[in-house]
Amino acid sequence: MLKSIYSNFILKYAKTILLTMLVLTALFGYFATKMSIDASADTLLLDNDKDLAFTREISKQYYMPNFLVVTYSPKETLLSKKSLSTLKSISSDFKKLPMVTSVISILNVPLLQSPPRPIKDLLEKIPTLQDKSVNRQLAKKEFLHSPIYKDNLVSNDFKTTAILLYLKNDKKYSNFIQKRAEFRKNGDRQKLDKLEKRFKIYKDKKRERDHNNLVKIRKIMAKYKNNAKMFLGGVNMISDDMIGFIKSDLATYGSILLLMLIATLLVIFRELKFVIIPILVSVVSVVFTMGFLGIFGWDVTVISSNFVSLQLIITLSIILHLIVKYKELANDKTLNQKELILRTVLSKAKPSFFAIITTIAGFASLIISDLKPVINLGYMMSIGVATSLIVSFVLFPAIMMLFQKSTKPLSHNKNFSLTETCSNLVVKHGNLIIVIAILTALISLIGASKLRVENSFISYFKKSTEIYKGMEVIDKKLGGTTPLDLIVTFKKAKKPKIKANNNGFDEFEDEFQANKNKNQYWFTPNKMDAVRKIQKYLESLKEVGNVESFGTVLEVAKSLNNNKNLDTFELAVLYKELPKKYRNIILNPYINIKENQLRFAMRIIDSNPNLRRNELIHKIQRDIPKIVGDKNIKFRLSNLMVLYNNMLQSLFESQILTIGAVVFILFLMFLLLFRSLKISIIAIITNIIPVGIIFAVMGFADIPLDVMTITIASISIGIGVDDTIHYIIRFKEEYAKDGDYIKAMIRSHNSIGYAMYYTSIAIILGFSILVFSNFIPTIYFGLLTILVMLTSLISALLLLPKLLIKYRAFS
Amino acid sequence: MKYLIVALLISINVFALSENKIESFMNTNINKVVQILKSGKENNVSKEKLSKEIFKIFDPVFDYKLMARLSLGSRVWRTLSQRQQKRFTTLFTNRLKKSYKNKLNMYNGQKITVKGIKKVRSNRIHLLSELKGKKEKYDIVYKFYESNDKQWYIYDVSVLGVSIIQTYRSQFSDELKKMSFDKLLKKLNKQS
Repeated sequence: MLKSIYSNFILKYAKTILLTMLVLTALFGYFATKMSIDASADTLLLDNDKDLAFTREISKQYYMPNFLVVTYSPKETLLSKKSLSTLKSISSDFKKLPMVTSVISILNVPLLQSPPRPIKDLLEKIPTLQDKSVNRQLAKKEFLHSPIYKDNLVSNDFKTTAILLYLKNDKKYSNFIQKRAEFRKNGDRQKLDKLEKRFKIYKDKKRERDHNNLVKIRKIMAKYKNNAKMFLGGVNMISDDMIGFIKSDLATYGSILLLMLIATLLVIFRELKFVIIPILVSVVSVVFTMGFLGIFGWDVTVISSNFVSLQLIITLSIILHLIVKYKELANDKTLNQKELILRTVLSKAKPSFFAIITTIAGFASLIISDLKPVINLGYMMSIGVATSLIVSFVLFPAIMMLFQKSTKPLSHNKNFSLTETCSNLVVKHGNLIIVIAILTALISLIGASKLRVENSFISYFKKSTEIYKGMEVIDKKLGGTTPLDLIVTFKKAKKPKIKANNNGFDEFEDEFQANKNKNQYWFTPNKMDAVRKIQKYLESLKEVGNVESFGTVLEVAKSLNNNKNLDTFELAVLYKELPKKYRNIILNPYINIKENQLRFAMRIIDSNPNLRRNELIHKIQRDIPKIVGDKNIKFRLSNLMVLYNNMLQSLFESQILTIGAVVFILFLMFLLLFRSLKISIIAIITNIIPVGIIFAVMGFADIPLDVMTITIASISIGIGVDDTIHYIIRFKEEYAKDGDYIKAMIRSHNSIGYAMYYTSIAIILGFSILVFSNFIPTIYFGLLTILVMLTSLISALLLLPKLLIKYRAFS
Repeated sequence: MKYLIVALLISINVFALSENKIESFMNTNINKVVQILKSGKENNVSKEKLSKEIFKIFDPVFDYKLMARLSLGSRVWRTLSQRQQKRFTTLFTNRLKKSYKNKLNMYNGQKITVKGIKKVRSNRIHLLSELKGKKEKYDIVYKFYESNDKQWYIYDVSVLGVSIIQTYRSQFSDELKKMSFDKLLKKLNKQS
């Protein structure tokens, strides 16, 4: 059937087909422009994560407005007249932006000890740096020593300060999320689909708006760049910055990579058409896939941003196998161009089809993940490789019909041929190969056991980059980056049953019961004791930067009260007398009396190389109940740190722990394809070893599995499978000719071996460019891809033939 | 904190109090206490001595036993043995006095004026007063009840709307979630 499709349709109407493909490419190209890149923090969260629902709940209950941080390091001293007047005019510029509701800086935060005054005086009017009554020397001391400001609003060298830009609350966004959760719970599919569509449109608009806002902020910063060094940063910025980095990386290194590929193809084939065809087919395949993404509305995220590279690898592999086969068949002088093309595609259809199907099976492992961007990457890659297969098998024959038969033989290096060396090694040192393979497997196990799962956005960037420096200032000098909250809930008291009493006691009881729940009576010694203990414990953790809570407020109050802790009565009075505008600063972000709850807001120092996020979270969860020692108090962690950790752990589970399941699926695919248990086992072994090597290298080199590198497992399986299938099918064909294993191997190495070798060489050379990137995940990705290509090739050219021969796989 | 001083400043005749005498009594005796504090400050009298003098004046009009009972709440109080009730009352009174004593040195020449009485119920009277310093001004309310012998006693004082007894109630109810009553007694004993 395939034959008739080709001879009666594709090869017959080659020009029409090409024209149609051109139109389709233009069409998909148009849809590709609708593809959007979503870099928001939300894309890295698990939709069904209970901690996410909890975090959203908490953000509703406490006063926690969204904000951006601008660091400000003036050339003159921080409190000099010039520095302050610059700060004042920057602040007023920021304030004019429509998205910004308020600007907080050293200029307008309350000063309580400059000079110290009784609390009651302070409650009437709290001075700020702009008041004449304030003593600047004391203010400096207060900024450097107050638990509220030190290492948070100002750095401890007093050269840098933070400007906080509070942003407008996006109620519409949270409404969407709330409604979505409702519809999901009710299982209302129709409404949900409609909502998702509207939500996507809203998100796209919001992204643009947010981005414009950032552009405006940066513009204001640029205006003052002669007076001070400034960075825009904070956890909200990381992903946006990252996408900017990836985009610029793609532009620079993408084009160099393309040039490198062209050069390599030119050296291998020495024919312009065999340079143009692979590049053209790759580009068209990528455009088609991007078009699909635009049509389905799947956003490209940080995780799926490397799909272009992956598709490039797979398309090149298909097309190079076709070209090598064509060249091989071209030696037959009796065939004309049409027959030649027909035989090429027909003989490659089966191995290519199965290679793609198994690759899809490899990527299918991504679909069982909980993380939407990873699931999408799974679909993207499945659609991508399927597209590559179809586009290659339509475009290659159709384009080749435009050319005369090419009889130029493949120019193999006469002095050294990798494939020949490999076949010699298999013949002469076959057992050594097996010994080395076993040793490699053992070493891999040791290396893989050293693997750690850690995602540090800050270490994605080289230390010399501006973006790293900006993050570092906030991380090291201004209290840390990723937020982690500890929510402490006190058990509610049981409602007392009041029985009739005869001595008038009841009347009193009623009187006090009626006032019992008044908020001012909430601050009992028990609770305050827990607050102080927790605050002290969290501050003692070296991984934690700034800790803000009611505990910091208590500390300040203590210092204003002759270094004595306020008692319950004093706290009650303070609570009652505190003006509302200060409640939003010192109470509402940290206490929720209605829920009997406290919030400790920490920020984690992400640049700490010894930070083990998952361990830290577990440590806090273990330690806190012991430290407080009260069974009536419940604890729960929340916010981005927990959510990112959940995401990474779930990614780890779905990627690494299910690798067994993926191998099993592959095994079934091999059984189906080869119909032999022996061959299937050999094929699986050949595929597992490269994956093991990758993990071992990552383990020994201390490259963590993170959002960017974790997909390498399925990628390496995808690539490895390709080589194995092509080689085994060819070997079987060659073996059928004379029943001689060694001769069959040598012939296979000299034919298909070249296709595998060229594919690997082209990709290795092309991807080696990525090592020069400034974006560390890109470097790792380049290096690991090179390693995968190399180990898969060696495994397929040495171990695979040796095992096939040793166990007489086809007998 | 300065403004918390003199929350319990009252001076009362050793004799029991009838309704129509509450205001005048309080007026006279509050002034007496202010005088004690003033001369105490000038002559550097110790806190111990000052408090002893003041307590002597207002002990008779404070119903410490009732205050102790109220600060625990009837639900808990009824479960206690007589011995426990007695012990608690003593410890609670000590604590109340101690925390008052600790605040005496904050006195800084403030004046206290009685502003009048308010009968909130047939058997409840609030005596409204004001503590005035150079800048600050606080409302202090002394809450009286009428006992079975038709005399009036103080059962609670509130400063700026914060009731002292209510504060203790929330404090003790919180403590008792965590510890047994005997442990609470031990803790109070240690504190005093």
